[in-house]
Amino acid sequence: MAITTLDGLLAGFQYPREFMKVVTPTLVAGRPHSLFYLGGIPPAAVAPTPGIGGAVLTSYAGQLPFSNPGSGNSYLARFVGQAAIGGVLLLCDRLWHNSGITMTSTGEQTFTGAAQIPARDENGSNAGVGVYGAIEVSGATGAGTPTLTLKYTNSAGTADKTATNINATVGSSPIGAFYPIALAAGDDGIQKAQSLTLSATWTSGTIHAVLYRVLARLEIPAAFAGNAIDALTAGFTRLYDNTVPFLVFVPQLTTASLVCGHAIWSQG
Amino acid sequence: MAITTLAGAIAGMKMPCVFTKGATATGVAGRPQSLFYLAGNPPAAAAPSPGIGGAVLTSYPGQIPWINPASGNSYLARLQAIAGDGAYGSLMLCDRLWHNSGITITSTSEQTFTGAAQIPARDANGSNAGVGVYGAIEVSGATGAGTPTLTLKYTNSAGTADKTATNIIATVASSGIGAFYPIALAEGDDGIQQAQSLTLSETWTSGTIHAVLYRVLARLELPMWKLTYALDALTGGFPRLYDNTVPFLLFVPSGTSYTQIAGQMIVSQG
Repeated sequence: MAITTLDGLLAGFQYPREFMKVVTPTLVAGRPHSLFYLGGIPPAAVAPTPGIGGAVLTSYAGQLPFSNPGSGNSYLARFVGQAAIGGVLLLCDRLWHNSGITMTSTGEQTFTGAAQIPARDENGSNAGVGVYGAIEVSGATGAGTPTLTLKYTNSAGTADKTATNINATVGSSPIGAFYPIALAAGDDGIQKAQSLTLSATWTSGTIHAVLYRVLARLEIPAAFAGNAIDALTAGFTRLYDNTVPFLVFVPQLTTASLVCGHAIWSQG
Repeated sequence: MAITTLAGAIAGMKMPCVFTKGATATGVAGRPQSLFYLAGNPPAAAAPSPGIGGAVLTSYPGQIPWINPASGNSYLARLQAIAGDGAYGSLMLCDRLWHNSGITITSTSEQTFTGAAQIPARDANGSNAGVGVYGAIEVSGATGAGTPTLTLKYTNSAGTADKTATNIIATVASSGIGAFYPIALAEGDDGIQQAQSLTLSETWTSGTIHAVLYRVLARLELPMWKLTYALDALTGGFPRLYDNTVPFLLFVPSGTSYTQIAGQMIVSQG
């Protein structure tokens, strides 16, 4: 059953899932930063090691806690946050990620054995509508500013589509740097990641391809100004079973930042 | 019975519990500040003195007033607040489950909380397992020089002992009364059921600190000072408050000084 009334919303509220993440490294204004590897609450995630073919995710240590409902559906009912600088805090569902990318290679690195996303795109299917790709840093990179070309299968099932990073890469990108990949003309999402090509060496470090869906964007209008969205103001976003919630912060400035808040689901 | 309708929430509304707390000691932007020891309404709490083994809390003078329902459950139905001149931020309403005293602030050895008990059955699920329960070090007497790392050893919500984690926000010398240092969780953990020990990496020279186990009930955004904000049954997630809840407040400020935090809490029971 779907929740379609305020009574249903009220009856289905779950307890707050708190987050308080230790200070980030120095940031790049406007470039998303994954909080996945930062200690605090919840604790830091360990860098993924599923290999180049990646892993479909139904849970991962370091995510915001999420339990499937006994029956019915799950929805985002409140998302409150605060940060040391202004920006935007994204709550996302992590669908797939990989490891084993060679930082110094400029050849196409095929994600052999990569699987299609689980049925958690914005329509609850595995087609990929509203699912995006990114390159996430879990070990600080070295010198170099490569262009990152992701090859993927789009939500219509068409393979070998390609697109590149939206934010320019920088040398010495720190742990958590998160480079969203654009979509090719006509596309509205990704159902499978196929390969990655770096245009130049990034010298050293560790990166991962990630497929994710944005569940909510919370505006942080100024330094330490708390802000919140709720069931009515946030669009009552559906969270499908086995959602793997994680946070991405888009900072206003480069200042290292503390981020805290919580999320509340309603289920029924 | 649980409250599952708006009509039930309205029928169960209780009288507002008002709070007005005066100016704090100098704070740190982004670091939670406990309002527990500040005079005002409710009055200041006395520094805990149960000893190193601590005390499980079912009430404590200085908390926001609490009365258990004659029957049924309790929920947070409204939290409204205003921050005075100087700083805006977030106001956290928390349930204080356990605290201790008797920590030697100059010792760098592990200080075992001998005799410490498990939390009462007020974790996120109303059990004493500890899901959604966090640890913190709270200052009740201003500290001296030193910036120790604070390592809390605890038993997690799965019952696994000897997990360790450190303070999320760096300590500062001369931390004022109310400084509140949340402790992280170790990898894979989602809460704490019992605090076991504390180790300071270096002396904090002087002052008084306490280990505290608490659960966050609500976070109210205060994006501007001198403006009132509120959450209610629908926008606040209607969190369950279990019998014998000990409500207290934390303010996460944008600046180092602020003049007043005032507001009200309303509970619905049924």
